[in-house]
Amino acid sequence: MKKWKSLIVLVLIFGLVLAGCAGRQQKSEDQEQEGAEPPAEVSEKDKFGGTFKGRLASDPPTLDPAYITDTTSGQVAEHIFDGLVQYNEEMEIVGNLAKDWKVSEDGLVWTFNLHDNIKFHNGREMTADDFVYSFTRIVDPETASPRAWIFDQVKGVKEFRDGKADTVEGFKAVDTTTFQITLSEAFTPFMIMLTMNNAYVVPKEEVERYGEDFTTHPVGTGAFQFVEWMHDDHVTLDVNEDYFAGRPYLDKVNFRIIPDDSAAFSEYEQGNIHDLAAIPEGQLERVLNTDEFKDELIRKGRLGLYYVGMNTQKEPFTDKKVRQAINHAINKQMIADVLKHGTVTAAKGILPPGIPDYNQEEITGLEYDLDKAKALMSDAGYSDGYPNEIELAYNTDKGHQMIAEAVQADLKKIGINVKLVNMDWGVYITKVDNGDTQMYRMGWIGDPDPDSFLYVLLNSANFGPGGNASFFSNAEFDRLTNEARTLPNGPERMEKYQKAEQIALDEAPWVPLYYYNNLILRKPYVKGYRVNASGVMSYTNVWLSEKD
Amino acid sequence: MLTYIIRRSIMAVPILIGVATITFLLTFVFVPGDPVRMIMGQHADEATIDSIRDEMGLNRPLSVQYFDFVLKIFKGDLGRSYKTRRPVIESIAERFPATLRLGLSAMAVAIVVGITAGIVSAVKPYSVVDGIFMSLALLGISIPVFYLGLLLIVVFAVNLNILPVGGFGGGDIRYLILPAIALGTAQAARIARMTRSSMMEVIRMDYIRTARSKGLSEKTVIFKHALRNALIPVITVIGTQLGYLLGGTVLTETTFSWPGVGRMAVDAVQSRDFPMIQGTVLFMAIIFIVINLVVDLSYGWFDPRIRYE
Repeated sequence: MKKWKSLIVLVLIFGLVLAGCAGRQQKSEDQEQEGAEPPAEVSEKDKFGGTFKGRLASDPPTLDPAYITDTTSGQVAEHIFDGLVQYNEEMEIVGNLAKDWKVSEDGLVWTFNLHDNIKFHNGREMTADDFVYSFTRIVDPETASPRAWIFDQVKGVKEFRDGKADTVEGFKAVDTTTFQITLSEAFTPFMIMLTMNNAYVVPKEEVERYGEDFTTHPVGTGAFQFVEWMHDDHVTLDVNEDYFAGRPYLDKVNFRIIPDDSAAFSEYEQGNIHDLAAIPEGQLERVLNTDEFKDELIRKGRLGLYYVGMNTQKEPFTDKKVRQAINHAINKQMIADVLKHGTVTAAKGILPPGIPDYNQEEITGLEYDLDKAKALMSDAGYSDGYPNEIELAYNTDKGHQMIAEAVQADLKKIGINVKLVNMDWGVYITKVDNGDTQMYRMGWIGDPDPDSFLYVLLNSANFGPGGNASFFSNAEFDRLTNEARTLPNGPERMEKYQKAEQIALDEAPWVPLYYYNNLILRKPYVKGYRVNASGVMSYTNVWLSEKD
Repeated sequence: MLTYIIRRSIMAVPILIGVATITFLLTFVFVPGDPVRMIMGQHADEATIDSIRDEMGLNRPLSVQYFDFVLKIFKGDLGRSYKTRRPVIESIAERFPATLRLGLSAMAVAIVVGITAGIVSAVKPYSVVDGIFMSLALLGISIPVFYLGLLLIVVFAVNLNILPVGGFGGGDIRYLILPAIALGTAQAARIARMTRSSMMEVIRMDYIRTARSKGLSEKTVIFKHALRNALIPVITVIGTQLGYLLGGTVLTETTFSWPGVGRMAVDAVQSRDFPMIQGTVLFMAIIFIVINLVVDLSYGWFDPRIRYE
């Protein structure tokens, strides 16, 4: 009898494998149909319906705007919540819940006029008071938001955090549709803070109802409302029929959580997900150099830089000539073209292209020139090479390792022996922040404002965890970046940043290696899909010419 | 039997306190890296870092944190995750069904394949079939689970493209097949070897000779008389392996992106989520203790001569 039972189980397993094969074949046929050209004319009515199937590379740590510091959480939250403003395709700041705004001449008072009839997903109308609550919640020490600093420049925040005031003086609801923010000092990049996921509006009653569990019961005003989250498997959102900007075309958005890029690529090929923002290394050749994905690939610059930092307070990087020699010795173009398969752009300077009004043409970087590098080493007193070994640290990752090895090989040519040290991210970030590394690799995705690169990463006010891990200090650079953040947008401000960037390049605390690019696949039947330099944009205009 | 269960349960308390203490020391004293820094991302300011430390109680002396941690365990509170701010126990409860599903499926594969192969090998010892089965068993035990997992992925998911590479697929059974085989193979090998050696020992005993001399069919002798007695050591192996499987199989869950407790534990270590690390380790310890107790109790069912005092 037991033998029979065993046999039945084996037959069942075999049957399931066969059923799996049949399922896959069916999908392949579906895919062929999906690949067909959509009808030339599609009526507005036919655009409605269907489920967009997205991919998340990890389980989002949180869906509560107060605690978001990662891109995965932001990728979901941006559909559930809205803020005052947002970026458009050209990375200009445009209104979201705010229909317009004005800034006082002294740059201190920012007044936002909100759209009428905006409703939270629980049905209640949203008013300016909700912004007062949401923003105060971010700076409240009890919330312990890791992004409390985004409102550091708002008047009264310090007093509120120190317990000297019950409210934040700088947040004010003038009337139900007018929200006013007063700053304690002029701060032009403040608008960028308002585009962040943390600056979304949340309903007080739902936050208080769920407490810490608001993260799994998010309620916002966004184009889609939260339905279900099966951790490490999927997150499902339903359309918000009452969305203030009009009902989106899609009925649902379903994000599958697939950590492995190869697994995600396989799911994309089979049409189980509609877009893919991380193409696995092994598929790059096929995606970039064949016609197979010609109609599906979107390439767009990204506001991000990959660089090697040098701790300017440690030998031999206290000497500018050594730092410059290292800059001249590293072949960035080879790294971009060969190691990164041309998916990135070799860096000329620090700021990536695409920052509005910033003229990158005026910047002169330290180009690859081995002779110059050797001459500089000689000037620095190291004509026979640097006598000691230098450590280059990176967090454990095959891609970082390949770049570190290329840097190691390049620096050997000018007599610098580099020892590679890898560690996991948790240890790595602490060591880099504490200045315990000599050389380190880092990547930074910034905002479309020079301040988010130059001030944050290189101003001496931000040593260590603040962002300046090379402990670079230059009085002129500090002065320029301090002044520029208080000036209104315009040529005078940009000129200061250009001078500051040139100083940073000449002083060379970093070797800027490459600028990131967005490389995204999306199915041809996904229409209205837009990407900007920050990544995939909201799905409010996305529709499917072929629905499941 | 009840007294036995109560006694074993009381004995489990110091074991759990020991596990909790070691885990606490490992996370807070020996693990490098700052959990608050991990939460903050790349740009952080000292004031915010300090306020988060305060809110998480990380500015308190280590001894105070330790006693608070142990006291909370007795109240069934494993704390809140630093990363998600959700109760650890809730996160474990959410992931456990996936771990259970994978663990039980792997064990089903292991039992069916292992016991069948073990019996066949024992009945026809030193035959060609025995040689093949035992060679495969040796291979199954020797091959690392993550390597076998990768091989299966390359063959069935990438080259043949008949099964998914990984993930849970919302419960779709196709996603279960490869991880269950990868995880079940080593267990099947252990079970097969144990079944074979135990069966061969039992088959040589006098009562089996008696059964055969009574004229009982070979099927009855093997399955009714020999197998039941030979299963006791096999059950011990199954029990200990089940504890390992249900505690969250870190490598398999990570290789196949399976949303279970094991993968969550790996994520917790990477993000320095101390309460989550402590919670998952304690959970694994509890699973081992419970499974061991169940295995000990099951001996009585298989061998009625065994009594519990």
